[in-house]
Amino acid sequence: MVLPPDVSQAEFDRAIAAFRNAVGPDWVFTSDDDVALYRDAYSPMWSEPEERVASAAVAPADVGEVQAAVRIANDTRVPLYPISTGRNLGYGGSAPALSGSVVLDLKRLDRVLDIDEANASVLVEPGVSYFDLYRALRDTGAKLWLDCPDPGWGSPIGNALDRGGGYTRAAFRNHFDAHCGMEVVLPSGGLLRTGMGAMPGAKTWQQYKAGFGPWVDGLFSQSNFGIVTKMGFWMMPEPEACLIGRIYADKYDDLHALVRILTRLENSGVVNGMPGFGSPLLQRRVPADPQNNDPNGATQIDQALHDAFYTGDDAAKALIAERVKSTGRSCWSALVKFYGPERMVRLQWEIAKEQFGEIEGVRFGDPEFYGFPLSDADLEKIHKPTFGIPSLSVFNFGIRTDLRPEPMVGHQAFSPVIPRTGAAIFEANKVFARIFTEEGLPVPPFNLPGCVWERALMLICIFPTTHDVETNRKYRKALRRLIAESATRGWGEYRTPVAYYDTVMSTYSFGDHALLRFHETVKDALDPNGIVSPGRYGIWPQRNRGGPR
Amino acid sequence: MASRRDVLIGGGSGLAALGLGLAPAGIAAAAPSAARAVPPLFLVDRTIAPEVGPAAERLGSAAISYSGDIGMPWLDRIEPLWRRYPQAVAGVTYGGAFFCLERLARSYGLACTFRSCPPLPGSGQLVGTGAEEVAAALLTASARSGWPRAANPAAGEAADRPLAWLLQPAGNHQPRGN
Ligand SMILES: Cc1cc2nc3c(=O)[nH]c(=O)nc-3n(C[C@H](O)[C@H](O)[C@H](O)COP(=O)(O)OP(=O)(O)OC[C@H]3O[C@@H](n4cnc5c(N)ncnc54)[C@H](O)[C@@H]3O)c2cc1C
Repeated sequence: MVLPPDVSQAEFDRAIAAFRNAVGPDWVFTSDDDVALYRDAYSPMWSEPEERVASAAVAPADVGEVQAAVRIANDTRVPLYPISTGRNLGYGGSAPALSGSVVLDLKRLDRVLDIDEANASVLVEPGVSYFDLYRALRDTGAKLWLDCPDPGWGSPIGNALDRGGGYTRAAFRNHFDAHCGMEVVLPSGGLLRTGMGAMPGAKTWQQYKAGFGPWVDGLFSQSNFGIVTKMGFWMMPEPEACLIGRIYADKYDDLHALVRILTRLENSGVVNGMPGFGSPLLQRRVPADPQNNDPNGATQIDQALHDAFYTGDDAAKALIAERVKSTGRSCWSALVKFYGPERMVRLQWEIAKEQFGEIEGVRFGDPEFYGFPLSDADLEKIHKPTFGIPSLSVFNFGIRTDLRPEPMVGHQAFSPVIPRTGAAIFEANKVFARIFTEEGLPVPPFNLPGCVWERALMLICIFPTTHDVETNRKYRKALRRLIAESATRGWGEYRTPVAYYDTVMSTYSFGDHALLRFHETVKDALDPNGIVSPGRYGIWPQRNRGGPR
Repeated sequence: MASRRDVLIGGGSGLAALGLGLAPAGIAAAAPSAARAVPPLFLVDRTIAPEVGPAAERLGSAAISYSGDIGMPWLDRIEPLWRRYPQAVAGVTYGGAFFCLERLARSYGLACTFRSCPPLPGSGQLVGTGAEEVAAALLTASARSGWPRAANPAAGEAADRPLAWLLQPAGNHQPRGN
């Protein structure tokens, strides 16, 4: 068992006894077998001294017990690491950022407190998973859609607090932005409600986000300033229809116009579902394409074509043009989704086609049209989160490919935010390919960005995590370099595995790290004993800064 | 200390020795007094071995045949079953679906007591009583028609590799882990 770095065994034992008293002995886990269940199955530091592991776990039943646990932590200086459903695989699982922390497992706070169909909102506790919420919506007959990430076993609160993303309309797929009001147990043990929740008796907690004065909600995302015990979310009213359109462009340089036009259509609200880019020539599917929901689907392409997409010079463009002709596959594709009344989505598609018509030689696929409820046949083949349905199908796909044949147990992502231009896509790909080569790693096929966020693009490079120390070290080194070199160009990670928290935070360095110093000031004011999630997102309390970690 | 392998070989007594045999006292009241001999649910990914479903039914287990996504079977059948009290569930699924179920099972007081990849009927791996035998019988049934069909010989216990497995009530039922 690993103790927190500056806590004695005697103090730790005192904390455990007090936790047992507060939440009941059945809900305090200290055996090695139980604590091992909180290991991060995808840890890129598996079995290395740096791997972050918990010392124990405590599962309170309600807000009062959460407050009691926080008071005990203050008294004994034993750090807590709150999780909601704890399924943050790829970004730390349910393991703490500081080894020796006690995981505060909130799965027992599992009530859907309110479903307001007229307001299209819900109020939930942290232990409510996407599946739970889906069932609750179905049971009440509310015509509301969830926006969920690919794995449906996580929670609206845990995912939103890590600023995760989903697949439907922009207002909902940015999960933190879609929230409206929260309740937080502060590191002091005090209880805070934000927005209209701060006004006793207000009926508008899930209607008006800001309340009065500074809007503090953002402080509780990707942070360690409090333990969230309730959160409201705006939901998407079930649309009458969904239409999916495909656009194909043949020339390498068409990517610039594709991105520009798609962005204009999205910013003006014509395209209101999550769009994406692909390359039929490279056999790169668009993410979340309902017709081809298989990330392993890409087959090997020949090296000359592979290289041409990175080189992009005149000879490369000529080769690509020749291949487009000989294979009949276009160089690029874009996929646009529209949700709304049938007449409207059909009109939106017509408008989109008109605008993409600026690209010489552009072609359009037959649109796919979906009405609701979906047929069983549709349900078998579609990407469910695009239609507000939680799923676990993403775990069926191994991420092993011909290029990366080694056995892997999980993944870690390098996911920088880049400008929404074709030029940025080309430049980022070239930089990453150079780093892969220099680090002795295979260069993956040309990467096309996800459009989860409005206005910006995000490239996602997936690296394996294994149980082999040397392999993990190799990938960690490459990932650190990607983070650092990206930062010199102004491309920053939106989220990162625990192993890279400090590295990424150090790249947001404007004004001699003014942002981190601000975080630390807030941390010290709210959590002087440093008992909530020390180290999360690179924010360390005073006691661990430059000291024991 | 007994390993998982010992548990398999030892059958029911091995499970009990590890605290994996019976439902915990707190929820025993809700559970029927006699433990069921066969898992009440048997999950079958029909893209692997559709004939396992009917074989499971014949042996008294309700088969859930699905394709690819374990999400809806989880929501509609498994979670409601486990919410009542921990009950064994067996399956022949891809590793990815099992990875999810094994983790979800922890929160409901169940643990994996048998896992075989590839499942090799007749290889001596399937020794035990009750539920294990059911799994063995089902696997034998499936093997007769040439299962596994979609096995990828290069893979380890990976997301895209078929597995036979058994989840059984464990020593406690608290929500734990990820
Ligand atoms: C194959 C695969 C696909 C994925 N696809 C997606 C995707 O499409 N979109 C996406 O966003 N993610 C994705 N993920 C990442 C991850 O699985 C999800 O984001 C998942 O929802 C996070 O787990 P969770 O919801 O259980 O949150 P948790 O693990 O409960 O929470 C995440 C973190 O937030 C903090 N936290 C949680 N609850 C609280 C609280 N109540 N108070 C204070 N702090 C808290 C903790 O630090 C915790 O570690 C994917 C992962 C995998 C393996």
